[in-house]
Amino acid sequence: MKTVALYNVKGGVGKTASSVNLAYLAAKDGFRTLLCDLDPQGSASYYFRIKPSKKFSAKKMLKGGRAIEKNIKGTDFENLDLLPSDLSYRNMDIALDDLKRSKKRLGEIMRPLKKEYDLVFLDCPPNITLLSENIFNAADIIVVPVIPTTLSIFAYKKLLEFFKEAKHDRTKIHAFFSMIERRKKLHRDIMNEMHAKHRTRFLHSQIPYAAPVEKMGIHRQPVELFQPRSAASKAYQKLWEEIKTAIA
Amino acid sequence: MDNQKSYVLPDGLAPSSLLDEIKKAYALTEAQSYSSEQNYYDTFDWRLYNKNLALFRDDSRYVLEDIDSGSALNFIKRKKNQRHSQFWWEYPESEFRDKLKSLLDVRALMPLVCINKRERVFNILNKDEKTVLRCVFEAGSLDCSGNTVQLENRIKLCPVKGYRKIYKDLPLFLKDLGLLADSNSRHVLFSALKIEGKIPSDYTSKIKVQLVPDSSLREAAVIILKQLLHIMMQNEAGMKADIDSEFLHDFRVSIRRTRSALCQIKKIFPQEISCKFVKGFAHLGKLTNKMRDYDVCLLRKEKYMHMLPKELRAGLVPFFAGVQARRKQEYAHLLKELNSATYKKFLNSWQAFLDEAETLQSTKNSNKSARKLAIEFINKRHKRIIQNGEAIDDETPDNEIHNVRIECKKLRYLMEFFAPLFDASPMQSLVTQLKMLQENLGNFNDLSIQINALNARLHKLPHKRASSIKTAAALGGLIASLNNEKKIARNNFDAAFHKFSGKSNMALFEKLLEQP
Repeated sequence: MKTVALYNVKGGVGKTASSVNLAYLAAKDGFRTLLCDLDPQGSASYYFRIKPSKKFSAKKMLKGGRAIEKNIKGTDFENLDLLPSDLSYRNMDIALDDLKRSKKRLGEIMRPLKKEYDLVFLDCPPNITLLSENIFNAADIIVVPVIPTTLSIFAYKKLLEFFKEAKHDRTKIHAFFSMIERRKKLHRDIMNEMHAKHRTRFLHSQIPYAAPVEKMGIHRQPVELFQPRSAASKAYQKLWEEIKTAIA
Repeated sequence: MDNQKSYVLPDGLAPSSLLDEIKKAYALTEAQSYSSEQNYYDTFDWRLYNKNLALFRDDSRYVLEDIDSGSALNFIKRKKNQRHSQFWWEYPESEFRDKLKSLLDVRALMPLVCINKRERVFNILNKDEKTVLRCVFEAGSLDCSGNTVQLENRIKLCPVKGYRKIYKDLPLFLKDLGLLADSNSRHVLFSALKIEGKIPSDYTSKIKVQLVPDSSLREAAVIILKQLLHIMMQNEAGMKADIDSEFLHDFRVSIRRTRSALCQIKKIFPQEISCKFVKGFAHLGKLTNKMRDYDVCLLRKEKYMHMLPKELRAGLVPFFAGVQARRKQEYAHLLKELNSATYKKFLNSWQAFLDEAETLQSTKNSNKSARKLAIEFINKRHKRIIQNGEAIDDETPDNEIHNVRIECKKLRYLMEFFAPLFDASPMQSLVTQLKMLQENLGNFNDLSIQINALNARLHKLPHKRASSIKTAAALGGLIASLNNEKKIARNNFDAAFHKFSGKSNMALFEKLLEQP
């Protein structure tokens, strides 16, 4: 079982849209896939029309074992299950802080799912918190969507610095440009610069800022299902191929 | 994967009417519909079916299903025009292949039936329009000697993880419409096999005869011998078509058992007739010896390769190519023999003899009680094994161990022939004990044979050919390694024999063989 985290310190960079599309494409490719919605906003769960059961909470989640298995739900797609998010996840850090081995808890919780899934996607909330550190430890690779803007690059660099300081494995980080607008000179310049300076850390795929991605909220489906020929749909397919190679 | 529930639609209920009924109560949307040709496979001895499994191939996959629930347990993708893969080792490395390896061992997957299946998938939605259950309407047909035969209409409920309530509710709804989920004989394979006239589990290499407690020895022997002939005949076609190695193996075992029965169940037929057939079967067995040796050698390919360090393995490639080539020649030779008039005449005469055997003049043992004499034969053989086994020590030459092995085999056959005349449970545990001893002896013997065969090959290698050096090194490596295994097997004999001749086992033997 491989674990792929979709993460960025910043919000609104396309983490959830990427998680949903990538998890769908992986499942379609034959991988038994689980998407864990770790963001208390629950957007990934919303896209798949799944609500958590009333008894589910951050504490239950951190218990692991049966409590998790009981709350995993099948999506409308073969091979793809989802662990829905709950609003109580907003207090995940407090709950984690009470536990022993608080930075490695998530990895331990996920381990029993090994038999059932080939691939687990983690749709992560923004910020660098105790939960994020759990994610950095648990994930095999950390996929970081980056908007080619100054602030977004600043946040990305902060993340690299944090990894260095906290002695996390920086080779896990695989960034890609998200929500790009080719007509903007700033976007083009930043992408050129970053590709030149961080060649090994940036994937080649780029996800455009496009209407179909925004419409996912209306259709509540991965892009491929309602606009299979769109540039966005093709871009996600490419991104999945690259991630597949990265985890192989 | 979660369990599915499967229902057969009663004759009067059309799928469209059932669909309308469900639509009245639930939000339903049609998701997909597809038709496919499902080719079902199993081994000749029904290894999958006996484990409650069914395997089929459609356009894109091989799927292993649980027969009771109809749930797919495992699958592997395949290309559309790809040839059928008969053996587990022909599948790409995967969990599926590992599963097949444990299920099939060396047996081939042979075609059973081909079903043309049409499926319409409907999703039941909740108020968020999320799929919470899938209903699959299935229809199927079978091409049976030029005619299309329709199979029953079915509906299958496939749960979606995390939505148990609807999965519990819908069966109640269907129950009100007169539909009951019944796992027994509901898999489509049952109906298809029935139409094709195929009987599941109609083959086993084990002797399964029904003997009456007060039958005479000749009566019992004839039943046993007829059963052995039947097993031989069942294997003949597969052996001739060279489907897998086990047809020939089972054929040979039946020959050996027949000879053993004729020799061990003494004085039930006039001697000259017995002698004639013993000779005939010995000859038939001999005809197949070489072929079996080649098969065994080829089946060990993987093991041999792994026994050697990587740098020596290349030397085995020409060795196995040579074995394969000689096997091909031997197969042609055997086929010729099996198609010959002599072979047919011999088996016909044996069949005719068995049909008339009970009317032949009586002999010394022919009318005696089968059970009484079976006890005598088994006792005698058992005593001899104990005596010979106890005499074995570290200095005993190998051939005496081989003799004990042969004695054990004879005892095993006797016990299996006459098992129906004794209490099943002690008989079973004694056979198991004997099996364990035989395993040790058989292993020792196999290793001796392998070492001899490899040595013989080593001496026949052409001196002038450059590749011979590599092959010689590989064979040398194997011989050394097998020799070590042989020593271990020999050292283990003591423990195996003591277990077999231990107090509790001896007491069990005595109890079993008590007169009536």
